[in-house]
Amino acid sequence: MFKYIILLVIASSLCYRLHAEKILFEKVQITGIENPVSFALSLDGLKLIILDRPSKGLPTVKQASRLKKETAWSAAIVIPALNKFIDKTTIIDGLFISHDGSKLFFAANFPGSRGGMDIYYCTLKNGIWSEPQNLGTPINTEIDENYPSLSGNNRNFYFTRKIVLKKLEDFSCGEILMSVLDSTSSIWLKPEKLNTEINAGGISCAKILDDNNTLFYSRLNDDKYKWDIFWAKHFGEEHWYLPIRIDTICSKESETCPVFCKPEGKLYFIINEGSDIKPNGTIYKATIDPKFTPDKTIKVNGTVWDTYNKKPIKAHILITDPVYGKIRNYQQSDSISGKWEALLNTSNSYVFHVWRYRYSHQYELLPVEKSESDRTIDFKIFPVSKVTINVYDQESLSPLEASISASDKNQTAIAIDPQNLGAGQKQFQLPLGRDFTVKTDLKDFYPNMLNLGLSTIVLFDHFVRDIEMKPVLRKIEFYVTSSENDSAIVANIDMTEQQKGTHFTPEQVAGQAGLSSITVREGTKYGIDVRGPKGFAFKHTELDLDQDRDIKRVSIQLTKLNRKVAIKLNNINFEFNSADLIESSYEELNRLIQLMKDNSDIKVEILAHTDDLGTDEYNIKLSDKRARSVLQYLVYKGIPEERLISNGYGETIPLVPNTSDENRALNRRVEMKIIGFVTETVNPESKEE
Amino acid sequence: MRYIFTLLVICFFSFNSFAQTDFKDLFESMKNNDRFSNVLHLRYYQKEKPEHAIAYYLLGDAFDKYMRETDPLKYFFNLNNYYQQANTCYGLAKGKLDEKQARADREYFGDIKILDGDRKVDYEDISFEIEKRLNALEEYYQNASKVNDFYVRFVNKYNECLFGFRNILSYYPYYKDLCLLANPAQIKSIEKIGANFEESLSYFNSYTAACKTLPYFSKIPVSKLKPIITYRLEGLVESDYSAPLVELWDYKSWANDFVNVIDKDIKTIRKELLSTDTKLDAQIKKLQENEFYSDELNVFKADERFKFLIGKYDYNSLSNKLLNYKEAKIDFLKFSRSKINDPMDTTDTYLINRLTFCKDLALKLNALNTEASDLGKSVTIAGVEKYNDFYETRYQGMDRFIRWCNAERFNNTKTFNKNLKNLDLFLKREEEKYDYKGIDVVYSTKKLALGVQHPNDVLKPDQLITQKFFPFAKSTYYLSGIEGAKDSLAHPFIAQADTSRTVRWFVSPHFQKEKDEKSSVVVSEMKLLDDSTLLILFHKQHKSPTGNKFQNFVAKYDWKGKELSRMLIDTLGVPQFFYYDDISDEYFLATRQDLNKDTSNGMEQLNCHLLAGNGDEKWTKQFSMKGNLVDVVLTNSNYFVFVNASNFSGGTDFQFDGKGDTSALGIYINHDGSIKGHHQFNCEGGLVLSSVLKVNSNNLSLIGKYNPKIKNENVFLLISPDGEIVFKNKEDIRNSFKP
Repeated sequence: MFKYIILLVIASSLCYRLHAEKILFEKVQITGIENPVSFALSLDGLKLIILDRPSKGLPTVKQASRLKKETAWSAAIVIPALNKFIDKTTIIDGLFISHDGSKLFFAANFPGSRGGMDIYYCTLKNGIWSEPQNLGTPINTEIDENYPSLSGNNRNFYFTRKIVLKKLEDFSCGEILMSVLDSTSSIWLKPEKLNTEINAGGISCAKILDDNNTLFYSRLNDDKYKWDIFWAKHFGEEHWYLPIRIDTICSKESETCPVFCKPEGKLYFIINEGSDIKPNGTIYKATIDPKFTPDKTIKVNGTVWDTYNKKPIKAHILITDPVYGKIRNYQQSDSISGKWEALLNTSNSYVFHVWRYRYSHQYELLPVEKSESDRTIDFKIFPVSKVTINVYDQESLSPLEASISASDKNQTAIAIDPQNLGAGQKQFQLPLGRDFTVKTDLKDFYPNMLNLGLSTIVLFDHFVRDIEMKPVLRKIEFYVTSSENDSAIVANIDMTEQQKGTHFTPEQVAGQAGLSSITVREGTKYGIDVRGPKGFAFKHTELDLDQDRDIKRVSIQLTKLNRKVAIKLNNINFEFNSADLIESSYEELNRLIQLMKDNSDIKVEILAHTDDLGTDEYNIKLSDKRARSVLQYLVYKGIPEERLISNGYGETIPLVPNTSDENRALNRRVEMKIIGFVTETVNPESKEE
Repeated sequence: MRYIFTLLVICFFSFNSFAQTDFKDLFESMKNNDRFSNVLHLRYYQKEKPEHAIAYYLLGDAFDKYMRETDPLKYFFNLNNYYQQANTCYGLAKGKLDEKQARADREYFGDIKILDGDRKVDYEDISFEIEKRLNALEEYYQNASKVNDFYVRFVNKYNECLFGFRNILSYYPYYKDLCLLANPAQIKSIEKIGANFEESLSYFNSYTAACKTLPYFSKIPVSKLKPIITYRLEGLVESDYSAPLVELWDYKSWANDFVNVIDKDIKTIRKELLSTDTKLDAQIKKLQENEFYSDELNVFKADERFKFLIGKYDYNSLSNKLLNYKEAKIDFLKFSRSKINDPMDTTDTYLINRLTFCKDLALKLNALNTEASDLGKSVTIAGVEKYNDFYETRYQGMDRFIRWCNAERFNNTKTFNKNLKNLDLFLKREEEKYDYKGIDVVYSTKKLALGVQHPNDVLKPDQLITQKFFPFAKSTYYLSGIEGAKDSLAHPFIAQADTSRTVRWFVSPHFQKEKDEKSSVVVSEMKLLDDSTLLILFHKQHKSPTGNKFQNFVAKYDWKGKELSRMLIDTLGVPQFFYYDDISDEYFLATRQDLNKDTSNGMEQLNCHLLAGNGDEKWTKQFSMKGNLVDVVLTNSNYFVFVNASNFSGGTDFQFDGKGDTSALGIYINHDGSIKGHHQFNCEGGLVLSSVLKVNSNNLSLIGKYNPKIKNENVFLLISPDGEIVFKNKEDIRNSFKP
């Protein structure tokens, strides 16, 4: 009878299994796996890592793969980096591949673990898993931790911590805890238990999915002493819908290790026909009700580029929600390839914030629609910004070639020189992450500066800034008097800025005869032409505010136009050994012309003198011709010849003794002398006089 | 704590472990438990006794409290759930409550306000209380919803400003470029940023106003507006929007400032630029087309304040360069209208003034063409785009504008060449100034022409031909020429006449002849020195079957016609140029001499002599050339000898072969007779000089024709005393110097 009962049980079990396999189940065939007790599946569904606990020998972690979701799995091969740590005392369980595929988490009782089982991880580098690293506190404690899983955004770490249920000591039960990555994204915060609706009874094999909303786990059915698979789902930020048992795959055997394969839309799991202590498992996959399907995520990936050095770069990538600023994802791009990848739930908007120490930042707003598919976004950051400085005259807006330098505000000794772009433009290449002071300096302008804070968030690689420079001004007074009696006279003063030829006229100071003033720019050179009232000679002088740094008043004496008084004409020069005027002489001669126009009744003698070099005859001839040259110029310019006579006096009337080159230069001169008035009978003074 | 709350948002499924059927016991135990446990117990009780209103009432009270403790911003989802739970529970309490329960459970309902008088709480009071609570719950929830809604709207609008602002700034690294380059769509988007910011602030204000209705907010958030001053460094980063002090970039002020700049300055710039350019063009046209000459012209100039306004926004502005160029052009054209350039005006008779004018006009043209060239070179896409409409309207876009700049140089040179014709007219008038105009004077039986004659007929015996003539002072004429003799020979004469048509003196110098010698003597040059001495260069030509023999004599005459000196100069050839420097008492004489016809290949000999006052040779340079001497100019006591030649040989010094094309050559001879080198001025098709005139110590003007065989157009060059070209009116004229 008992036999029949046994047979009936086996038959019914078989029938159920056959029925289940036909309708829902599909055994996952992997060569080289005898007794899978735990496994992990990559998000793309192409890599399977399985913990095989064969009847003989040590448990082994193996890896199988496939090219497409439709193709068969390859034979499982051993992962040496992990297995070399496994010996006969080793207990290993709870495999999980992070959703970005970069880490393999698992629980093990390796030497050095805190308590019994701790959570470890291996990192995939160049296709090879690294040696295991203990995840450390606060995840690992003296109590056994198991079944690690990481949300798609890498910010929520789920795992179980062992609990002992009365009368169920044979089952490896735990409760689910979750740790959140802190805001600096550097440490895991103290884990907290999920609510008692989820942690009701004994739990194992909890796995959070990439959407960070869907949780699959096994819960001990304390009525039947077996594991069932449950589904729970977040709603809102912190809440869970009441967990639901996935009845369609729950049999009277234990179903454990639920892993959802998104590409296939199927749930992988293990049916354990043995016990927790002596498991006898087979991996199955089954289609489940669509309501259990996790939320859609898309893979957003790209490369972070250093546009200055034109190479990929490691950088921080922080993804937040645009309204509350809550962190959705954080990671760093690979230091060699610059690549990064993030899983993002659809139907949300995200702000990408990319930066690196002493580099620029980049922000991108990315709305992710439900229909969105995977996409690539490359980010570009740079360590240096171009800063173009336009230096110009505040008054005229003309470019200035000022000396300009930028210095780090904290390291003033280190100055950066700019590249000269011409036309008052200079360009710096300034490293980011520092604050700079740009200083301009130019003679006769007030120094100016601007602060450029590049230690803040910099988004742009080029800035243009203006620095206006204010010219230093000086008030100059002119006091014009008569040479005859020092009395003040009102004269016309015309100042010509020599570089640009701009004319200025000082203003008469009210109530002060002979006094006028003007405010002019420091460092400039002016030609000053003073034209007195009728009856006075003109005066030309130069005012070099570059040389005369202290001068504030210019006193000018105008010679009264009296007969017989010779007035020296300045800067009248001739070609060597010739009577041909040099062009620069015209300026003074034009003043003489103006004087003769202003005083249309005067008659003038032009007198030319030489030094004592050469024979008397030669000097007389030369001076005579030179005086005539001057006369001719005046005539060319419209002065009637009747008002002019010219005479050369050779070396006969020296101003100073011809004892030096300087004195000789003084003696070589041209003068004018009033010889009468048009109304009078002209009686020119003869040479003999 | 948050995780504890999560437990509460569950359905009414549960385990039985907390079941407690006696409410009095439950109520008593609740006094010692926390709210969380009480809710659990109440839920289990409610499962057991679903008709008991007090359980719903107390659950509603708990959820109500949870709702009011929940952050309506970050956990609005939770708040919403608590609201739903509280609302449901209060609703059920209200529905389940009857008078019996009210009487039995009145002590559990707590401190309920009695509606009227001093009595125990009854059904009416409790119902009223529940209704009141439902209303308060609803009000709180509506207010919390408003807080959340306004907050989300505020942040979303602000984010629109932030991202829009970042986007706009990404186009232009320079704020002023943004002002000038922003297209209408971008200006609109900036206006939109301002409007969005206003809207965002309005939402913020609504949000804070709503916050005031919620006791949850012990501190009502306030905003602080931060001005955006530093372009591209400020206004780029979001704030903590849920902080008590929300710092917001003031996009509105920034956008307003920008729009103000656009509406005032930029619009003014665009409008004024078009109008100024039009006025400048009208002025240019007037100066170009109307033939008038005046020194008192008033011309239109661009308003300096307007140019300053452009410069304020456009560093190194193309448009300012354009205005400056047009002003320079007006200045150039105005100068070309100077009275001195009037071809009809004969009041100013001085060549030097005309030459100086041409020199100044040429230098102005140089500067103007350089400005036109610089203008063309400074055209950039950005420079044009800043005033796109203007350049499209006025110049049909950038490419045509560049072409216009290039054409300007051509047009300016054309204007200059047109003015050059006035110099030609003047020179022609100068040349003809002393020509014979039918006025004669009589000396004895001889009739002398008061003016230079150009007879076509053969000289007849006793016929007098005046070849040199000039007036002196007011009343004196000097004249010289030849008198016909037998055998078609000629003898020179010199005379002085006065304005009353009297010949003061007449001299017929005697030159000794050998027996049977048949020679003619002519006056090659006549100059009046400053001391009124008349300097004459005589040239004697002795024709014989064996070849021509030449002799040259320099003689001086006093103002009364008395010969003071005469000397034979030991030079050969026909005088081409004669200059006496009475200061250094030196003669420079250039003569031309036929070479042996069999070997010359058309080459002739050019001899340049520097002679001392006594006739002693200081140095002689001999050249052979195929061409002609143009002029010799003394520059700072050195000699510049200009020739037109297709072939020129300076002996061992240098060779020139123009391969058939004539070039102008300037041979630079130092005062000591050494050759410094020679300048070659040429262009395609050849270049021929007609005269070289010294303008002043810095400039010589070279006047001639280029490509004389085909175009025969005027050449005007200004060169420095060292032979470097300072100005040329045709671009392809080249100058090369060979030492």
